[in-house]
Formats: sequence, structure tokens, C-alpha cells
Amino acid sequence: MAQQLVVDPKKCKACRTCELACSFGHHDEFNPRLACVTVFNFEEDAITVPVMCMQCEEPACAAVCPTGALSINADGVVSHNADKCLVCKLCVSACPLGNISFSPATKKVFKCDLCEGDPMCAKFCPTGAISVMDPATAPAKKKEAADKIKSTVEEA
Amino acid sequence: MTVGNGWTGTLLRVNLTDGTIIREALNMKDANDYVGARGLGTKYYCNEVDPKIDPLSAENKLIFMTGPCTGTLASSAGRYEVVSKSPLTGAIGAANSGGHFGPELKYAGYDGIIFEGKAEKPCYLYINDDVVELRCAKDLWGKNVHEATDMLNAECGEDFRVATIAPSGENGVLFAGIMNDKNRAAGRGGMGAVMGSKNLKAVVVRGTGSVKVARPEGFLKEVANARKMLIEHPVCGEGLAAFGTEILVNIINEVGGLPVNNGRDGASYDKAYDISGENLAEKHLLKNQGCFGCTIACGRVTKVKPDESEFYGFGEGPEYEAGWSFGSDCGINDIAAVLKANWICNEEGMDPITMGATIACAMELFEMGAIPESDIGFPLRFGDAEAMVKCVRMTADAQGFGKILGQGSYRLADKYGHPELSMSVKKQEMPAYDGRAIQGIALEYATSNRGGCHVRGYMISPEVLGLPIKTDPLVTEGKGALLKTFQDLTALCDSTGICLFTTFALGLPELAGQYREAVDSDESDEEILLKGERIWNLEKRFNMEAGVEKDTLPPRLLREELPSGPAKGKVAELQTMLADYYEVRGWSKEGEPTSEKLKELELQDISF
Amino acid sequence: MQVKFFATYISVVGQRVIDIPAPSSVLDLLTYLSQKYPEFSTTKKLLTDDGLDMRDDVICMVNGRHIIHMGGVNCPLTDRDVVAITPQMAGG
Repeated sequence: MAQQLVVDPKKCKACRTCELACSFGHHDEFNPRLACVTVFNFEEDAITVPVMCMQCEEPACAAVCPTGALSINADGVVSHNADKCLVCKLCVSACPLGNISFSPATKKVFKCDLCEGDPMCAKFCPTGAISVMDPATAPAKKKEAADKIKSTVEEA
Repeated sequence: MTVGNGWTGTLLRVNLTDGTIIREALNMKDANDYVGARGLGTKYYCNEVDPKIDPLSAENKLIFMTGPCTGTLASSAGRYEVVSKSPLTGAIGAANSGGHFGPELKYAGYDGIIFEGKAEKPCYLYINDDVVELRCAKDLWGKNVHEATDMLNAECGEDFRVATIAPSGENGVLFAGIMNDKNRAAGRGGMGAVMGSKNLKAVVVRGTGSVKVARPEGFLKEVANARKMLIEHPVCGEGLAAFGTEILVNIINEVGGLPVNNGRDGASYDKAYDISGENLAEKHLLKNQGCFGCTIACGRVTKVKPDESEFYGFGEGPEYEAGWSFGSDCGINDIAAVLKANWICNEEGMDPITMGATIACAMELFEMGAIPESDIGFPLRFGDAEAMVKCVRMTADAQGFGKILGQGSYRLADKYGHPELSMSVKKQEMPAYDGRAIQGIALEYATSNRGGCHVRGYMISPEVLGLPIKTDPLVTEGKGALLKTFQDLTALCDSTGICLFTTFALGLPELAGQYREAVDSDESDEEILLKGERIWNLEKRFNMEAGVEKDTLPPRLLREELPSGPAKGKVAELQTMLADYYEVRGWSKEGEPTSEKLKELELQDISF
Repeated sequence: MQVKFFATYISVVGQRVIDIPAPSSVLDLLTYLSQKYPEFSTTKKLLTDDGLDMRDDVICMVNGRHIIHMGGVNCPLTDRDVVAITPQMAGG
């Protein structure tokens, strides 16, 4: 079942729990620099934005990869196969959103893999700033709008 | 316990006099016995420093210490502690702070830093994983917290975390704090002045390493449970996020415990709503904010626009304490002025509790004619918001009367012949709860190891808020035993690296559970709580050797009856509660740990 | 009799204070409020499910004293009393 992470910056409180949960989920240790999600705090504007791989339909990273180590799997995830990976890092340059990274510590390329269906970041985010959605279903916003229209129609 | 389980296993020892930097192995026995952060920092300090030392001398040491949970996914686990002898009180001083600095130190590979000696010229400590060096701070000296932080980020890199002092610390303001991540404070007791006395401006750190726990699967289970409890709790999951700690203003006022005009005019304020969290949220709150890994997110990001008030600006806070100290304690209900005063304290690294309470003391002294106007330069009366903000500014700038304010209310009141009007204990100002209306907090003020402090034995919780049990604020019965539990549990929590605010929702089992899985312990909850008691008694022993005054309260609390409100006619019935408290603690009638108690806590061989 | 509301309860009522004839007890007051302001009986319940007691996560004071020290929800009320009702809260 295809899934997507949805980010609502207005709900983000800059706590970086997502970074911790992500690194722990993948590596059993706490290291925000190994996380696939990074939180940016724009202090003066009082806005915080978590950024992670958006599982592009036309992934630039996969397009540039010389060995086919990056491809879209059956769940719609742009998946990284470490066995095929040369760590040439072309993908790191290619992603326009900076969402695929090279770790000097592990000497590997890493990106979000949606934790095989149960994303840690969404699970632990205390405010719902990061949540999981199946893009095939009607997004919550549309349903909210429909509810509002329905009540207006009912009144009339 | 093995190294690498919660801990990195390495401490930095920095000698500022000769510039040497040593990496030494963390003392794992002490780490086990004293948990971390506050407890472990205090143990190291007690091992190495003479209690009679002058806090602002080169012989004093300054210790930064994280906890084993700091930097992990444990609930709200971004805390670290700064420990030294306090120049304000002469007692053991330790200040706890949040933000993101503590975790970054762990990621760089260090559990803590011990600073010794004094640098010849202003410097800062640069930590970038393995690279640790002292650098010249010539251009930073004299800059406030925000300026210095921006300059350091520009010079070292945007992803460095910064802990710095402001000119207040450089100039020896006795309540100067150390600020990290710009607006988070290791605030009370003058740790910033100790740092400044060493010509140490800042510590910057960047870490790309990891923190590991001993039992990852068990840890994740404990953590998930704790976080769920926090999110579902009405206070930790909703109330604090929406209104911040200033939510307390109305309820503390309702029980008649919000001190007005330095406590001179009782503790019921008719304009309390104006300085409340509700009013703040409505008028000036942009959003709430969380520290590292925190579900509670009680931080306030606030703004006052130029067309709203002369006291315009932007920043973080205020907390309940600042809302009171610059608000009702000074007879002021102008919330913009309160915000402004608090922002100056953040930017200038000063403890807002002591700052506001010192100004309030000065106001009382002025109104009774004890301070001539010529000493101040302008009239200083209760209710004068402009004068109050001016005083904060003058203290930050060490200008004129500001130099006297910078010594705290006790030395100010003593200078003008009325030390009894300093609302302080052991020379540190009591915070925002009147001990006459809330008996248990009066006992905490009198007995707290770092002087007038509420947070280390937060009796407000049971006596006013009804958490975890509901007790009557007007009675003295049972307060001794209850306070001991709060003090020991707080000492434990402060030492894990987990934020104290989690304890509104979590109890000993949840704190101990996360700690156990992190450090590979099979100790029971009670055995772990005992470590908190050990820490409390160690602090007490230090204070005894340092010659700190005995446990008491200002005459106002002991003898001036509250004039109005639900606690009308009450004074703080300290003697009854003290006797009860000493007994429960296993101390002598004079309030000193007995040899049996020290043996029980394995403190019998501690010498200073 | 004045009834003050704090924190999230203010938006339930729409005002910080209301002035009403005193019900005979705190329980009667809470029952009245639960009926008059729907959120007090749904998302921000004041009463236990059986309607006989106040929920643990609600604080109620009469003249600055917690009702628990004054007979709980049976605490009598008069027109001269000042009641304050707030959700559980905390700070530091």
C-alpha cells in the first residue's frame, strides 16, 4: 500500500524527536546526523520546518544512479539498495531537496525508506506535524471542506 | 555498568590558566552512584573543591555535566547541569538547562566539561568532535548573548550549539546565568559570574557522533510508554503547550499566594489576569516551542509590536516566575513591560527571579525612604513599569544603581540598613509563591540546598494543583515527609538528563524505567530513588562545610500575617514543619545528617 | 455568585467570569454548567460518568480553597461565594 509522509509546519514545535526516532529506528543509536529527516527552525519568523524525502514520482536520484541502486518499489517508496550502491554520491548532488545524504561515519548513502511501512518519525511526532497518509485516499483537507459545505447546505 | 551505555565515557578537563585540555575517563562508580548531570556534577565538584573557596577566585571550578539519558529518545531528555559554588549564596549552586546544547556535547563524544583556573585573556572553548581548543574571545567579550551566539555561529558554523555569558557574567552580576541556544538558561545562582571570573566567554560544540543505550529494545518500550503518558496528560499534553507556565498566575492568585509589592502588601493581586498565561496567549504569543526531544513544548515565542507598546520586541518567554517577579511583585500589570524585562534578561544572561525580586526590594526601600532618589537617579515606586524596565537595563549595563542591583536583594537591602526586607533565603530570592499561603513551599524555600528555590521541592504540585495527591496548603501536617519525596525525586530527575516537567505526568517508575534500560541497571525503583536522596545529602554536607546559614525564612513570612485572601491571618509555620522534616530525613534536630543516615547513603567517608 | 474560569475553560464559556444565583452546592453548579455549556459534558467534561462527582482532572475552588478540603462536591454555596473552575494545570 503506497504511503506518504505529510508535513504540517504549523504544528512543528522544533523538538527534533523525529530526528532521534529516525536514527534509532535505522541504527539503534541516537544521532540526528544519521536521520533522514532534519528540522529547520526559522527563529525570527517563528516557523519550523521538518524536511524529508518526498518519494518523488520522477526521482532525480534514481535517474542519475549508474547502477540502478535507487528505484521505486511496489509501495511507492524510492528505495536504496546498498548492495548495488557504489557510494559515488551522484544522487546526493542530484536531489534538489537535499534529501539523500552521505554519512562520513558509516561511509554509506542513506535516505528515507518509510521504515518499511511504519515510519518512526510519524509514530513519535508529539504534535502530528509529521503524519502518514495514503495518497490514493481523499486527503483530510478535502474532507474537512466537504463537511463545511455539507453543514451550509443542511442549514439552507 | 559499561561505558557507551547512555554515556560516552569521556570528560574534558580544561585548565584555563595553562591552556591544557585533557580527556579523561568518566568515573563510572560515581556515575552509577550519582546518576549524572546534577548529582554527578556535584560529586565531581565536592571531590575536587574546598567548600570554603571564594566562588569568583581562580581556584574555583565550573562543571558542565550531562546525564545518561541526555541526547536519547527518552522523554524530554535534552537537559544538562552547570555546577559550582554560587557567588550569590555561598552554597552549592547548580543550574539546570534545556535547549539543544547538552545533546550536542554528547554527540561530540563528551559527557561533561570541568573548567579549572582562569584564563589570562577572554577565551571560548571550541569543540568540533575530536577537535577541542581554546580560542581567543577578544571580539566576543562585551557582547550580549544573542550577539555573541550569532557571531560564534557565523565564525564556527551554523550547526554549532552555543552556551555563552553576557557582560552581566563578565562584570560579576551575582545572578548572571549561562544561556544556551540563545534563550535557554542555566539561570539561578550566578553560574555566569563564575564563568566570567575565569575569562571564559562561551562553549561552542558540534557533534556528529552517537549516543547509545544498553538495552535498545527495552529502552524503546519504556520511552514509547512515557511519551504516550505525557501526550495524553491534560497538563503535559495540552495545558503547558497552550498557555505555558504563566497559566499558574490565576490559580496561585486564587489561593491567595501571589506575592504583591515584595510581599509587603500580601499575596492577592486584583490585576492578576493581566499578567496571566491566558492574556499572554491572547495578546502576544506567536507559537509554543519545544526543547530537544520534548513532547511538552512549553516554551513561548512572543512578540510585542511597536504600535502596541513602548516595550516592543521579540523573543522567548516569559515563564510564570518572570511574570510574577516583574509583574505583581513590582506592583505592575503591564504585560508588555514584563515581556520586555524578561527579554532583556535572556539577552543579557540574568536570572529574572532574582532580578525582579531585587527591584521589588528596592521599590519597598525607596517608598519607605531608605534609599535616596539621588542614588537611583529617578523615583522607583511599585507600579512604575518604565522604572522597572530601566532598572533591568541598568543592571545589564552595570550602570550606576544597576551595579548595586546586580548584587541581589540581600546585599542591596543590607547596604540600606534593612536586610530583613530581602525576600530571600540564604541570599537567593524566593520565587513566585507566598509561603504564608502555601505552607509546604515555605518549607522548601527554607531547606533547599541552593537557597530560595521552588523547583527542587515543588510542593505547589500537591498543595495547589493536586498532583499527584491533593493536600491542604494551609496545614503543616505531613509536609515534611512529602517534601523529602519531592526533593529526592527531583534530584534524581535532574540527574538523568530528563526534564523535570515530565514529572507532572510521569512518576518514579517511568523515570527509573528509562534510566535502567539506558545504563543497563537492574536496580529497583527504590534503589534508584535512594540515589536522589544521596545527592541531596551530599549537597547538604557541602553546605555545612561551606558554612551556609541555617534553614530559616525572612521575618515577613514568619511574623507578618497575610492581610487578605483565603490565607488571611497566616504566617509560615516553619518550626513545626522543620522538626518534622529533619526527622523524616533522618537528620539531627539541628538539621544535620546523622552518621547513621550518611552510612545508609554510603556518604560516611566523604571528606572535604 | 461569581464563577471564574481559567485556561481552556474560558473559551468553553466565552467569558472569564459569570454571575449567577448560587446553586445550593458545587455539584449542582457543575451539573448546571455541564448542561449550559455543551463542551463541559463532552470534550471537557466536568463530572464523572455517573454525574455524582467532579472529575480528577478538574480543579474547583470556593473562596480560594479547594473543595476537597470543604466537603467535596457537596460543599454548599451562597451568593457571596466566589468560585473558580479550571482544568488541571502545572508550571514551575
